[in-house]
Amino acid sequence: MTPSTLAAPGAGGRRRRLASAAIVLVALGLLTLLYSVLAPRGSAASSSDPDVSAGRDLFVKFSCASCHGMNGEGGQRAPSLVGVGQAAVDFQVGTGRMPLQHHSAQAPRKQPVMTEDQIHQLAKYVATLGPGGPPIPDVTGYQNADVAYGGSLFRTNCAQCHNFVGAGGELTYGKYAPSLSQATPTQIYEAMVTGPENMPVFGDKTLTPDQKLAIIHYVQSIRAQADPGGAGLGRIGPVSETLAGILVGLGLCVLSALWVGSRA
Amino acid sequence: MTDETPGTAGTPDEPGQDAPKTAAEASGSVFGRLKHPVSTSGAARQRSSSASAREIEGEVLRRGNMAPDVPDAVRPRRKVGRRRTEGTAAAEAAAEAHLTRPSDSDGTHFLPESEHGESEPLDPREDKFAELLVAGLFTLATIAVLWTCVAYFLIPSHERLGQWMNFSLGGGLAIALLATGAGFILWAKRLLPHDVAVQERHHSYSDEEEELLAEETFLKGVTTLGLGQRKILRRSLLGIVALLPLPAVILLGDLGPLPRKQLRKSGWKAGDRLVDVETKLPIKLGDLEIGGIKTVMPEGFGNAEEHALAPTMLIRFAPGEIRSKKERTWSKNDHVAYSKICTHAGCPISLYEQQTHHLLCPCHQSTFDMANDAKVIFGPAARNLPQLQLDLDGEGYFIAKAPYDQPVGPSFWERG
Amino acid sequence: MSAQAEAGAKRTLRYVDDRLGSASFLRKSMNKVFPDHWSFLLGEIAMYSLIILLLTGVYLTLFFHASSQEVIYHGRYAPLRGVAMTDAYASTLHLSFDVRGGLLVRQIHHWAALLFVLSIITHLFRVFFTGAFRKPRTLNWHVGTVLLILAILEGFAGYSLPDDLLSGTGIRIAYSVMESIPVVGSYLAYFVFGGDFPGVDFIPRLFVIHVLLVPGIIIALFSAHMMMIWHQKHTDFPGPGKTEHNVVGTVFFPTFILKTNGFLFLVFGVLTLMAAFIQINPVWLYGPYNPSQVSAGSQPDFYIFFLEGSLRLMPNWETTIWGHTISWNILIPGVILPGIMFNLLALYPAIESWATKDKAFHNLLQRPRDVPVRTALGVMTLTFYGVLFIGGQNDILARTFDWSLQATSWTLRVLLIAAPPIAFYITKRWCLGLQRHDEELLHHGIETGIIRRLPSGEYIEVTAPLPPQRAAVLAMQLGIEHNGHANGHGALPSGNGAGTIDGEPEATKLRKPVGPINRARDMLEGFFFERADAPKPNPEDEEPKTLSH
Repeated sequence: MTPSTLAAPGAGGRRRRLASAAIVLVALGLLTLLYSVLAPRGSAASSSDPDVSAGRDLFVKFSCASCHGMNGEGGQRAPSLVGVGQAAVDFQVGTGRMPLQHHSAQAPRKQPVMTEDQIHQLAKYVATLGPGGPPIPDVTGYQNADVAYGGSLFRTNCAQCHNFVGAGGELTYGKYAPSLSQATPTQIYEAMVTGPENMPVFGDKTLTPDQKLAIIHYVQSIRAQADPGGAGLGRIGPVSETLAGILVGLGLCVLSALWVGSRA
Repeated sequence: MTDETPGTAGTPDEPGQDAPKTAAEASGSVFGRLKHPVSTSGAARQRSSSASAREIEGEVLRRGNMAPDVPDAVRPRRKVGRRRTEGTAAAEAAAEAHLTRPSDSDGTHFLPESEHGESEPLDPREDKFAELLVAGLFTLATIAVLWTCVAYFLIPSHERLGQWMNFSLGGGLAIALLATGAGFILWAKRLLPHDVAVQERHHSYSDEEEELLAEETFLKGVTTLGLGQRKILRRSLLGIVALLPLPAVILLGDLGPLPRKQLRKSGWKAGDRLVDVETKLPIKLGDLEIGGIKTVMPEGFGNAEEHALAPTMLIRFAPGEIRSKKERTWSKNDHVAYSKICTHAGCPISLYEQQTHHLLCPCHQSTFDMANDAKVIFGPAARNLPQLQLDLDGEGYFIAKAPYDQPVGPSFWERG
Repeated sequence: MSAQAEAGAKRTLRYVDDRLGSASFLRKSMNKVFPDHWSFLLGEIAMYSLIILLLTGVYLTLFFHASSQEVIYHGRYAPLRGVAMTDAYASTLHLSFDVRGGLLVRQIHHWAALLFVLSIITHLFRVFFTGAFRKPRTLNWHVGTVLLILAILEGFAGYSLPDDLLSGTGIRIAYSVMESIPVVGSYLAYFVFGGDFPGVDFIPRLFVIHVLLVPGIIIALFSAHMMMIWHQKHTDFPGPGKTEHNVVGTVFFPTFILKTNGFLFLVFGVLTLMAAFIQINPVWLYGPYNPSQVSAGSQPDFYIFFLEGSLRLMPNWETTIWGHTISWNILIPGVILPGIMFNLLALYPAIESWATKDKAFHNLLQRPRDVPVRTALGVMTLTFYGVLFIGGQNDILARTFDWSLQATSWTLRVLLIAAPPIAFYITKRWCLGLQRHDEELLHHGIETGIIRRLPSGEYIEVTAPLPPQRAAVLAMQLGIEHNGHANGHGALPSGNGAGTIDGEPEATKLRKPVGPINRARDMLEGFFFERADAPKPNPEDEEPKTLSH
């Protein structure tokens, strides 16, 4: 602009400079506000829940991603974790089955590598990978369930794989239904509701939560129950009884015969 | 074997004699022994060798079978009609002496200790110790028996489902029995003299004479019966004897109903709702998760005892998992229903492997591929499991569209 | 014995004899000699188990309800309260939990049943391998075979009576086996069960069979078995002084009866010990029978394992001709195979005597090594049975040892065909080898371990001859000629402190073998083969009693 057409030179120029600075500041502020409102957020609570981020760290630390993929999408070596739910993670990692050490017919139970809190964090993280999947169940109050009803349900739905009292059983080609002797009530519920590996899925409409609690009560009470007849021999039936019969029964009687009779 | 002199009969220590060449020969031929019976010592044995005959010679029968107060002279001597061989007088005397030694009457005689090597005399202190030991065991047994009796009343019988009672009664009784047994055994081993007894074996067969006499008697009796000659009698007898057992068999006729078509019925009808075997509630679409199973029965047959062929497995597959076309046709919304009763020996199956879709029977390990018509892929079962056609009724509950298209369960002759 | 007691005993004996004429029988019986080798007591284990089964069985019948009527349980055992079950099962629960001592007696009964069949089988093998079944004891062998079959059936009936889930599964299989029989199968199954499976008639019928019919037959046959042994006298192993015509051992009264009575208490005690401290057949854990339920790892009692194994290992053959089905997959393992096995067992004495042309009477036993073919046949049969036996537990084994179930079954199938001939061959060669060793012992004597250097510089081992009686017995067992010469060699005629002079009939004094290991082995051998009292030669006789008729 030309010097003759301007207004009072000094004051008008300064005001104009301040005004443009103010406009820039306001514009910047508006943009920031707009950005923070409109910018795409990560998954729910991803930025705010410390458990989830801790879980993500665990997911990386224990190499879950090496088989399950960086985002749990699965692949040739491992199934997808998208939508699998917290209960499945709690079960698999809580029983030590995951992380898997080597591929065999079936993932065996072993010493868990994480603490309970860590497992919960991991579960929360995996749950953010996709919607769906059962949550970690609350099994308090299972002792009030009808233990006889639970026994009946157990014999109809569970005994054919896990044996009358949950001592375990054999499936095809090296797979097996494990013994329930180490399973916690929560883990039993989780197994029923998620159907780990080859176990069928007993959803909450197949076996209602009350029925599940009854089954858990039966399993726990049978486990704690005394064997009134003496040594339980694993509670697997005639096979161990035969071994005892031969070794102890026939063995002691033959030893007695050796004592009574002559040996020439 | 023809030599009668004692001690040389067949002893192989003297070379040149006809030593037995085989074990069978060593024991001698039956007829050789029959003609020339020889006792262990080599002496000629009396022909009448059965034990009862021996006793006849023995002092018992000198009493006869009359009352004790009848004097000996009056008792008749029992005639048995057995001939004796002529032995030498010396042999007879030896045999007589052999027989009439006090414990010898039946041919059982004890070998004196000098003959079987137990030469050390028993320390009387050992004998006393043994007696105390046996007495101690019996006393222990007595205490244990008393404990058992007392425990029955005193031990709380419901603690730990009766485990304490079992231990107390059983433990006490076991100690009592074992101690008593041990006491008896030790008594026999330590307190009784170690006598070795030798007894003659009498051959199990009778003398030739007796046998012939028995044969004669029997044949005479048979001839007298006249079955040989009287043909019509014989034939009519055969008739009744053959048929007499028949009523006994026929009377068993109402042991059970005739099977007729019963084995073909499974208890399912078209339109029957599937109900949970435990709760008896019908199954709605959505009750099963993918990979879920349930045991179901036809509505109205809630009790498995009433129709053991009815139990059925309802399985839900993921979409696209069913491979067989027929199976897909009979499925409903990826749900399939198959008979739970194994086609091998009738056990209820239901070991379902969710990922492999295999169904394993725990009894004999027959394995069925549930995604492929329940075909048998391992094990002794020969036939696929029958499939139940499914449908949904108006309210969304599963129903059987038709009963099973074949007899359910193990095979039988008339199955077809 | 006090004079009074003696008079009392005499009075009693007179009393009985006046009425029964029993004196001679009693005296004969009291003086009867029994050989007392320990292996002859195996049959006694069976006998005493039978007595215990009868005693405890009577007790059980006082409490058991053999009824299939459905009841709701309201007893002491909480995990089954309110559950519907048959009265048979409920009464078993009542007996186990509410009757003091009920569980103990039930367990004694079940352990005794297992021991009964186990001891019969062990006794059978002792009789088989020693040739005790030969004439005149072939009839007793047949009676024994029938007793074995009855014992197995009785056991099956017994453990099925409580109607629990485990035994009910076995009954289901039995029903299917019956059903599969061609032509008459379905009728047979319907008649035995009174209709469809499970029906309400089977448990009561099984009860009568188990409590009345089969025990009656068993008692009758067992009595016949014992009477034949009594009459024919027990067989015995050959040994010094023992011949085909005598029995060497202990007299019945007082020695043998004391020992055998003690043995009865020991067997009873062992069974009670097991019943006190080892649980068997916990039916409350299995639950009541329900045709729609089953457990993993379902097995019958051990004496049915071989049938279960044959059912599991059988390939799935089934033929359908003209509207009729023949299930070979059930018929062969369930009906045909056991039929063949038991028939062969029963006919074996006839087969052997026919094949060996042996019609002689035998009272002396044989060592298994002296009859290699029979021993090899026995081991072959045992191997076949053993593979089937293992097959019956294949799922438990697979679970315990972490094997694949299918791999286990296939391995057992192959072993079933391949193992018996291999076992036959190995056993036969082994027996022949042992016989050869014995022949060497006979001809060359026992190795004393003493090495002697001859003046010529040659080293020889000194051998000592066997004692002549033992040599004679060994020769007889091997079936070879033995001229009675003691056969040691290497000993110097001057008898330099070791070895003996050729021809000396006396038993040689052997130096103790040196070294701790040899001493330990000797001690162990002494435990297993305690030298029995052998009758020394009768001083009246001129020649020592060795081989006689």
